[in-house]
Parts: sequence; structure tokens; C-alpha cells
Amino acid sequence: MSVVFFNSLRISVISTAITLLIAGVYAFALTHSRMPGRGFFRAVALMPLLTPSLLPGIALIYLFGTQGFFREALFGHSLYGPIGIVMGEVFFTFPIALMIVLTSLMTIDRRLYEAAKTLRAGRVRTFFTVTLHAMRFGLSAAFFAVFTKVFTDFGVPITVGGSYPVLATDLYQKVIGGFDFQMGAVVGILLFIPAAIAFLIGHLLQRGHSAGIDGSAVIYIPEKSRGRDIACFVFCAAVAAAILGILLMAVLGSLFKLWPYNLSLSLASYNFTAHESSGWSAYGNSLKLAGGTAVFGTALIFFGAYLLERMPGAAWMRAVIGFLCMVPLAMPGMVLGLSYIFFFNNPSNPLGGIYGTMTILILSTVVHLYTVPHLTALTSLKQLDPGLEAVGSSLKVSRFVTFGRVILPVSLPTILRIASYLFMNSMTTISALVFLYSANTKVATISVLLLNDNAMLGPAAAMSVLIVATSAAVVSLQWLLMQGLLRRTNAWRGKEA
Amino acid sequence: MVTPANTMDAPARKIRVSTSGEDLLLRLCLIALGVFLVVGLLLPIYTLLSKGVQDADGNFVGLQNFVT
Amino acid sequence: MQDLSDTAQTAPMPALQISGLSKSFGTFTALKGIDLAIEKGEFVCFLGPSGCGKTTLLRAIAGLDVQDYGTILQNGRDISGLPVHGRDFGIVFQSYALFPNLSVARNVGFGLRGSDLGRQQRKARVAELLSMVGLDGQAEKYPAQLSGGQQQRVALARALAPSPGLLLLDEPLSALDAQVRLHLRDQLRQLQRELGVTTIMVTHDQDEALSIADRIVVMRQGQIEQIGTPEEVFRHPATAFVAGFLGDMNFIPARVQSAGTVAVGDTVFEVPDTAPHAPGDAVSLCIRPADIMVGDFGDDTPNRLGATVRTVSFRGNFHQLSVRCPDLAEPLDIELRHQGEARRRMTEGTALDIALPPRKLVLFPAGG
Repeated sequence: MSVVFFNSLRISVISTAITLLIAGVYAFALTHSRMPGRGFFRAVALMPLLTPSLLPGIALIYLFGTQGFFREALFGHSLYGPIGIVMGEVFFTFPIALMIVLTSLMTIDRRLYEAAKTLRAGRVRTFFTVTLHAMRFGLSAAFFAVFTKVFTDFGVPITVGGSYPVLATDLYQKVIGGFDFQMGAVVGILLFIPAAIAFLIGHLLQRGHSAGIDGSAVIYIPEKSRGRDIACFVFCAAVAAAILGILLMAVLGSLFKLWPYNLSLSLASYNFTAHESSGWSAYGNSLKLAGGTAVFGTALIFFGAYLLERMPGAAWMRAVIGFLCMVPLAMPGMVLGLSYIFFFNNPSNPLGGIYGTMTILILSTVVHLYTVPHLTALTSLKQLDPGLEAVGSSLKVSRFVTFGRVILPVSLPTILRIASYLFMNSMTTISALVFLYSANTKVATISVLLLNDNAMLGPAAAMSVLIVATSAAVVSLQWLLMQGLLRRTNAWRGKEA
Repeated sequence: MVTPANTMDAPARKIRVSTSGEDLLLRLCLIALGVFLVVGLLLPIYTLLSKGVQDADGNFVGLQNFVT
Repeated sequence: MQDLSDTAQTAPMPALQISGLSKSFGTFTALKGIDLAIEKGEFVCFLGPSGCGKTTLLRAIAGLDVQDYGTILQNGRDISGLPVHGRDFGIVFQSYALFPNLSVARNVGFGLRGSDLGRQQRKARVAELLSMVGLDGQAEKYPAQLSGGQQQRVALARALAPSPGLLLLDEPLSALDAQVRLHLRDQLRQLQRELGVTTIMVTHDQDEALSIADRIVVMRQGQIEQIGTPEEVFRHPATAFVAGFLGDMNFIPARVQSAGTVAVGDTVFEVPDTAPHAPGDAVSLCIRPADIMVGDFGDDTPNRLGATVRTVSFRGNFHQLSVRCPDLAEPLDIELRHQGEARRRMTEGTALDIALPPRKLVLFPAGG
């Protein structure tokens, strides 16, 4: 038991350290250099967010596995095990770390650098006192966010973990393989506690350092330095190449007729019905899950945030429920899924009927993804004038009318953002669902898992690519809708973009 | 000129605001959200935690399971 | 929506009657036993420094922050425990709280939807209101496209649309530039007179309160210090706080010597009314800087003093002098206007004769 626990710990610390290093330099390059292509580099950096965590593992197998194209690059070591897990996790968590560190770097007031200059501080000194200092909070917040993500991740270790056990895969073996629910609960708790602690510390850190752009801060425009720009460009190009490389490898892998023997390209792997009993229904189920989560989740989360933020009275109830809304972020998906088995698959539970249906999948996913959209909704609702409802009431207009005629239309951009967040994450999530799916509610990510288990790498890659493509399509759709929305309502939004 | 007028007379009745139908409905929605989170989050977690401190037969064994 | 409450009333019922109102936030007492009566059609200002409770009182009247104890009667009807939408008032906030996605016309007409007015009638009413506040032709604009002063007027029109029995204004002019503020202040007053709607305005600006109100309620630390017309609170302040808050005031620590005289060190001042203070009491002898006379005085001028100029500053309409007098520990402030005064050049060190007219002197308990 302790072996597994420390494996997880070791992997998490190592990959977090690597990710932070890369993200730190990348973020510096994006904000403190004048290298060309910053927009492009930024976009590429966020791409791993569209992928299920199974994808990097699969791509890595094509690249560095025993038959991989570049297997020599590992100097004889096997991909399967800690090496593969770390590589996959770095890919997977890079955008998360980047976004957090980027925020802390972007809010540095230009005048700090000007002050440093007038005090004749050298470049190195300035870097340490101004830049690194501002990054401190970003890096520590990112540390805890990434650590939690890696510690609780399932998709990467299950594809490239080999026989190196970590808590997530151990939990999976115990429950699915051995039906040992007892020990499953124990492993689940071991998975939960560090995640909860890391979440708490990260949360307190964010509170202490009130981030967010200060209206009076002047944004820093870096001075010219060819050498620095070239170095930054080379670094970012390498990182971007790695990210794109993994994505492309997955696409390529899905197109090989029969890897590693027959490398001619074909769409054979996409013929799911031939490879798997459920065929395309897995993809269909994913769409159902994502759609259901987006619709139900958005309504619940947004209206819930409205009740918590803008309803007078019931102070203690709102405080308690507000706290509950934060808990899902501390909950690893697998632990949630497992707890659902215990709770709902119990004959004495009247709600037990939902076990094995799409309903429980949607329910668990909404709960799993609750916190981030909830915070987004809260932030947006806080910015509305506090007197709006009071005026409506004084004019004897029903609260619901005020909500529908004013609050809702003004909040449409936020609602759109929440809906697409929920849709995208439902498409790519696996951890909660791995315990809750049944024969006819198998989703795409589960399908990838099973295909990979059965050594059908091509179709697994194909399904992963399909998932990514769907996510990308949703992001584009959201962008288009947002542009249209903002353009139509530009008259009353003023200069808000 | 009017002198300041402040009185603190007893008996003091605490004011209770009468709630309208609409306020009641909103409060119910809030409670519904609370129920959702309790059923979808708290109770399952509780079940998990309690299972973790029991042995195979359901007897409470505390942290014994974590010793290994 | 006037509440036509019942019959045989010998005296007209006050539009608003507040008794024993108290409110605390945790351990902080925001309002302590407020009693207040406001007549129909009056324009009342709640005036005081930040934290005095004026906004809390307004919000209690509105039902936004219901009081802990006490009653509020509107035209005889007990509204103490009614929710916001059960009360009869219109409100304008400092931030205006305009609905950003609705046009000016839709904003103003927002409260008319539920009434029995037909579509055409509503449109007419909106047009009438917009005209009243001087916003003809802005009906289809959006709040973001208007200036601060225009937005404020939309908020006002919106509040007045359902003809409420009470208009509540929470520092409506604070967010505006000085020029616009003055202009709107007059417009507001005019509009209120025309419509005759009972109005309560919260402000921390004493100039505003003095120029616009029928009566001013001066508040401090959750209590009412004085209620009166602008002249009353300015010329006859009931407490030292009111004296100092409205306009500038000189406070001279003194002791009552006998009935009619007050001593400051060796100097004795004639004060017409020393009651209720007894000889020997420590008091603050107060006079406004504008009331102190400067010039050549005869020996029979009461309360004559020699003074030496400390500082002089030119304020456009007057000179602000700070002078030192023997026996007075602190310098006196004097506002010297130029009608009939000797236009001498005054600088630091100039010697002056000043006089404190007895009828302009006010006494307060020391430390009050």
C-alpha cells in the first residue's frame, strides 16, 4: 500500500517540477520578450486542454514504445512506467500551469521595471526582485493545481504506466479487476486526502494574494533584446513542436492500417463497428453525456450562483451551500465515481435506479465539474450593479421577470462560456465514469480505454482524435457564437469585448 | 428649532419581514440546490469514508485498513 | 399609488412616521432609536458624515435592510415588516442601477408593465416622464451611451414612473462632476416641487442639503442630532456637532462667569443667553467666521478684541484670515468680505480690531 502511495507522490512531484519549469520559462517568453509568433505559441500551449488524458499516452506509445519510431531516444529504458507517466502528465498539465503563471506575470506593473531602472538595478537583479517575485505566487498556486491533477490522474498511467502502480490504477485494478470494494474504499481515501489538502493550500494561497488585473497597473512592454528574443523563440518553438508532435502522432497513428507492420494510411481504424461491439454508439453516448451535462449543468450552476450571490436573506444557508460548491474541486473524479457506487448501487437507496443509466453519468459529471463554472458565474454576477434587483422590487416587478429581462441577457457570454466548458470537459473526462458506465452507456473515453486494453491501438487513437476534433469544433463554435453575441449587443455593452 | 428626538422604548419587538410567495419559491430553489449537493456529493463521500474504516463485514475498524 | 387610508383625521397624517427605529449589524449599532415624521410633499435631507447611519435609515424605510426594532408608518399604514415590493416608493441609487441591456424608454417603462395601462398609454407616460427630466429624444439610446447626468435622470424618471408615494434618493449626485451636480440639483428641486412627491435624499454634502431641502435631519453615530429647516440648523445649531458640520465654526474654550457673561482667560464676553449653563460651567463659545466683524470700533462696541493676523488667503469672494488674540489659545478663523470694509492690505503681522457680536455667539457644553 505504501509503495503505491509513494509512487504516486514521487511521480507527482517530479512531473510537477518539470511542468513548472517549462511553463515558467514559456510564460516568461510570452510576456517578457518580443519574439514573433506569441499568439501562435499561446494557442498551441492550450491545445492539450482539448484532449482526454488518454491521448498523450497513446501518442507516446507510437513515439517511444517498444515499437515506437524513436524508441532509441530512451536509451534502452522502457516507456512503460515512470518515464512514460511523467512525459504524459507534463503534456497534459502544461496548459494549466501556464495559465496560472501567465496571469501572475501579466499583472506586473510596468512602473516597477522603470523604478528598478532608475535605481540602476542590473538585468539579473531586476529579474530576481521584480519578475521572479511576481511569479512566486503564480508558481506556488500552479504547483498545487498541477500536483493535484497529476496525483489523481487516471488516463496517463493506465495507458503507459505498465506495471508501475500508482493510486489511480491501483484503485481501478482493485475495483474493476478484483471487486475488492473494501480496499477500493481505502485506496480512494488515500487518493482523496492529499488532493483535498493540496486544494486547500492552493485556495488559501490564492486568497492571500489578491490576483486579478489592478485597474491602475500599466502593462509591461519589454524592451528590445535580440539575444533574449532568439533564445525565447527557440525554447517556445521546441515546446510547441513537442505538443504538436504528440497531437500529430495521435492523428497519424489513427491512420496507419496496421501499425507497426503496415504503415500505409487508411481510415480503417475509424470503422469502429468492426473493432468493437458498441461501434459508434460510444461516441453517440459521449455526445449525449456532454450535451446533457452542458444543458442541465449550465442551468443548475448559473441559477445556483444567482441564488447564492444575489438573493437577500438566508445568510447561513447560502454560506453552507457556497462552501459545498467548492468541494468538488478537491474531489478526484475516480473517488467520486467510487463513492457513487457505494451510495447508489445500494439496494436500500431509493435513488438506486439511476445506477447504470446515462442519468448517473450526467449527475456525476455535473458534480465533478461543478466548481470552476460556479466560480466563473459568481465572478460575473458580482460585477452586476447590486441595486438592480432592489430597483426591480421597488417597481413591483417580479424577481423572475427582472432575472429574465435583465440578468440573463447581460450574462449570456458567461453562460455560453460555462456551457462550452462543461461540454468540452464532459467529452474528455474519464475518471468518474470508469466505475459508473454500463454496457449501453459506454462513452468514447471508456471505449478508448478498452480498445487500448485489447491492444487495438489504431482504433484507440482514432477515437481519441475524434474526441479532440469534437472539442475543437465546440471551441470554434463557441468562439463564433461569442463574436456574434458581442457584435449584436455591442450597442449597450459599450467597449466590452 | 427642533430638539433631537431619540427614544429607546421598551417593549422592543423584533421585526419579522413577511415573505411573499416569490421569496418562498426562491428559498425553495436554494434548498433544492442544497439537496442536490448533499445527495450528489456529501452523502456519497460519507458512504465512502465510512466504508474505508470498516472491514469486510461492516464492523468499524478505524484506521486499521491504512496500516499496511 | 397613494394609500387612501381612512376617514376622520383631524390633522393631516404625516407621509412617513418613524418610531423607535433601531438596527445593528452584529456588534455595531447603526441606528439607535430614531423618531421622525415627514410631511407630504416635503423634501427632506438626511445629512451626516460617513457611518452616521443615514443610508441605513433610508434602506430601512425602503425595506432593503429591515430594522431590528421600531415601526414605520406610511400614510398611517404600518409598513414595518413589509417586503420591498409591498411598499410604495421609488428609489435612485448612487450608481443608478440602470438596466444596461434595455433602452432608456424600456428602463423608464420597466415598472409600468404590471399596471393596467395599455401599450399606448405606457408609451405616452414614458414620453411624458422623459420630457419632464429633459431627455426628449433619448428614448432609444442605451445607458452606456449617455453621460452621467443623463443616466441619473433616467434613473429618476424610472423611479417616478409608477407615481410612488415616496421618492428615496441615495446620494444621487455624488458621482457627478461639480458643474453637472449643481445644475441637476436645481432641476431635481424644481421637479420635486412640480410633482409634489414626498422625497428623502441622503447626502454628506452640506451645501447640497442647505440649498435643496425643506428640512434637514442631521445625523451622527446612529442618532439624530437635529431636525430643522436649513436656516434653523445653520443659524441655531442644537449641538456643537451640528454647529461644526454645517459651515465653518470657531470653538473657543471658555467658562461661564455670570448670567450673561463668559470668560476666556482675562477677557470677558457678553453673551445674551447663557442658560441653561450655570456660572462656573465649562463651555465652548462659538461664532461663525463670517460673523466676526473687522474694522475700527468705538469703545461701546461689545466683545471687542485686538488681533494679529497669522495667515491670509484669497478665496475669490472673500479673504480667509487666521488671527491670534491675547487670551485665546487657538487662532480664530475670519471670513472677510469686501463690502464697506477698509481695503487695507493685510499680511502676516498686521494688527486688527475685531468684534464678536453678542447675538451671533452660541454656547455649547465643553467637549460637546
